[in-house]
Amino acid sequence: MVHERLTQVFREIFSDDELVVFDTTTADQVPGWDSLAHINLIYAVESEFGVQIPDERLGSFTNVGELRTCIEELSSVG
Amino acid sequence: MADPERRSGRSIAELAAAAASVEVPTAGLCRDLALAHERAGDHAAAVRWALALTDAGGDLAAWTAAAGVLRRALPAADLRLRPAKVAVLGSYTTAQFAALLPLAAARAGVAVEVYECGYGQYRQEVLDPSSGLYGFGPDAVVLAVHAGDTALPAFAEDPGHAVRVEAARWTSLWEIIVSRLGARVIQHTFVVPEADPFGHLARRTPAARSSLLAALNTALGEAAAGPSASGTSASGTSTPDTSAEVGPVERGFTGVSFVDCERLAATVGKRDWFDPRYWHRAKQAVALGHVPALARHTAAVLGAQLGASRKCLVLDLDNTLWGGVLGEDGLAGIALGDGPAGEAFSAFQEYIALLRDRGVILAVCSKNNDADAREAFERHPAMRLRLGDIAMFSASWDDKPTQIRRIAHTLGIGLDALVFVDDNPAEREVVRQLLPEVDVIALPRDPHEYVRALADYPFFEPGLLTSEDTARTEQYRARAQAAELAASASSLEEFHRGLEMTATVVPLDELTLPRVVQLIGKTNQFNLTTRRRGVAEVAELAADPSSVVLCLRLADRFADHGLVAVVIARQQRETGAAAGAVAGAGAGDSAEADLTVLDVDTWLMSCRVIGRTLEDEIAGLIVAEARRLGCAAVRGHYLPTAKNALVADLYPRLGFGPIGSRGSGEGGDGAPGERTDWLLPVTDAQRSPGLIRIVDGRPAGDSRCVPSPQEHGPQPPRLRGLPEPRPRTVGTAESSASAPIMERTMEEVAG
Repeated sequence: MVHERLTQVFREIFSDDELVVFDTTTADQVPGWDSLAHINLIYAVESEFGVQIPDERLGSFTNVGELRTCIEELSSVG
Repeated sequence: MADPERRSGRSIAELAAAAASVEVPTAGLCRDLALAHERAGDHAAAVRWALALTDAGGDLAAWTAAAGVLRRALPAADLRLRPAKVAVLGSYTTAQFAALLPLAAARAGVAVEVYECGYGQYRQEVLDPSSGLYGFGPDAVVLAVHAGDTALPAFAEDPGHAVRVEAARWTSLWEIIVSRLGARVIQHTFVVPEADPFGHLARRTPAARSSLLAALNTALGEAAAGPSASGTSASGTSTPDTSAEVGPVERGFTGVSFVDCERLAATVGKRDWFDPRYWHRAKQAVALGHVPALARHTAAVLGAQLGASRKCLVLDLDNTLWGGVLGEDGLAGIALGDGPAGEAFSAFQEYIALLRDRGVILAVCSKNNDADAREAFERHPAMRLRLGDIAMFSASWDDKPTQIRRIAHTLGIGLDALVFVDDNPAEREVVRQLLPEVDVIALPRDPHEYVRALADYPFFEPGLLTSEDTARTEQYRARAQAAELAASASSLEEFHRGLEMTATVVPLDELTLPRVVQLIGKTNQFNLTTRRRGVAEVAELAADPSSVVLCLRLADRFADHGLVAVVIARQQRETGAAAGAVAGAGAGDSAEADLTVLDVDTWLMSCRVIGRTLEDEIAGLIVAEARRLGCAAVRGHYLPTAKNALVADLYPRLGFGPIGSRGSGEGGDGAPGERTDWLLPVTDAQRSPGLIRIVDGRPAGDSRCVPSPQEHGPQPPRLRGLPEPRPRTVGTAESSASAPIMERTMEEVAG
């Protein structure tokens, strides 16, 4: 569930309707995932899931799976 | 927020069906349709849905997706857009803004190529002729800046000087951009932070930073307008002397426009507009959720600079300019002016009238009989818009697309200059389908929200005021001067004079009867006798030649208060002892064995207009009616209730003499108290204060006796007679006896 919604956020932010991400996907595997896109992504994730990702975790995601885990921890619906 | 439409993988047919099932598809649906059409190779449709998304209030992510579609599909979409090269010079992270601007601009009719300066490099790029900015050669430069870029101190020794110096730092940039780059400027205004260390004291502390920022916004506006408009040149002091060539400073900067971020931020709430988390994380001076709106408004101003603004508002009538259906409810049955719904429609008309005043062309497009529709404009007392305001009046039974084509043709403007406003979703849809060039504003169901719906539409943005507009500006200025006078009024009389009040005596007819009965039913404070009467009774009284019913509207410089006062009086013959009592009470020489008096049965006024000398003028009108009927005196009564102590002394204050008091025989509303009776011989009538202009708005044949007839304007067309005194024959008569709880309570609470 979280993964599906997360995929949709990725598709919007990277304007690519066929983008597929896995837990193991890293930033350098997605074209255009630079620091700017990262901020947009974090903002969109916060909006989509209604969570606030703490500053100390912002730079710690090494792949999509860690972002998903973080969302699940912060989100009551898990 | 979960978005129910957020399921990609649906076919275009499925998505289109979903879109067709709602009037305004959600941003999510627009995005899916844009992406699906792009995949299918239909670039025009992809772009169309990407642009539709900008009207559907999408968030940053949806806009980002749509901006991607636009970037890829626009070259092949064959849209007729004005091309423009736009440089975004920002002092914060403007990458998102720059990325969304092409999408917003395409919606505003402009195909932009965007150049973005290096982070925080805007001054250097403007000042350095070898910078990328000069290589780009922009048509327009957006100064996307924020309050942190100003060099204003937390507290200024000399506030005026600080603001002038700071304004000059910006106008000197404008000057270089205008003269060296030949580009227009779009300046974002500075948002005054909502967190203020001075608290409310800042408002009276010109030296405080928030006051300086507000003054800076004003000074920049004045500098752009030029000295002829402002009387001061904020940029005058430290601008380099360029007056050898006809310096733009002397004439203002016609090429400089603003996006008023201060107003945008206030509209959404400043705490929402600025998100400190993203400021500290990534130097986003505008919360990312509001970057789409910022792009949209910047694009609207850019479009206005390039002449792409919409020019004409095409208005439906029924349930758009008034409540109800004219053809079914009749002129007396439509909601306008009085009551909550009536006030909502009046407010909408007022806003539209102001749009017209600043240059928006108005047209009417209605399915109605032409004569009936025009009659509403000519005869309804609360119509704010006049026929003269409407450049093209189209009321017929032709379908609306046909009428709208005719309007565009007659006015000699393109369909892409029109904006159509209609409460009816079906009419909106047929116009969208058949005339895609016309912008359609989907009015919300609730008329209270109409003004906002129209105000939220940004593409009426005017470029510059034309000379005709400037003439209007003169009028505005005259009005402003009058307001200054009123503000300095030192006495109540001066204040009243400054209000420029006009009271209009209107006929009691099918248009006014419901309101009159409503007032009779609910007025408590200024009500001498509190006698409640229904439609039939009032209509019967009005038809009786020995009775007088006065109905008054009051308007002043600020507002039209509507129908606010009612007097019912009856001619009564007094004989024998009673006549002697009357005569003895002051009728003087005319003391005969019998004489007639005008007996004031009912006198009430809405609490909205208490304390404005209207009662004194009404007393004069009553006396004039008494004279006309050959009455020797006016007799009044005060029947105390729990709520009408306000008028216990009204008659003596107006010069009436007492003719004894009785017990609590007939207390209004059955409340106990001492009833008093009063008499004023017509010969003793005093002059009224004369602070309200009195106009007789009754038809000529009915015009009985009103002072200063020279003030009468052209007589309105003869009105139809009263309806038969049967309650159900009058439009909203039912509501009079049992007005909606809400409506009654509101005015009762207020007065």
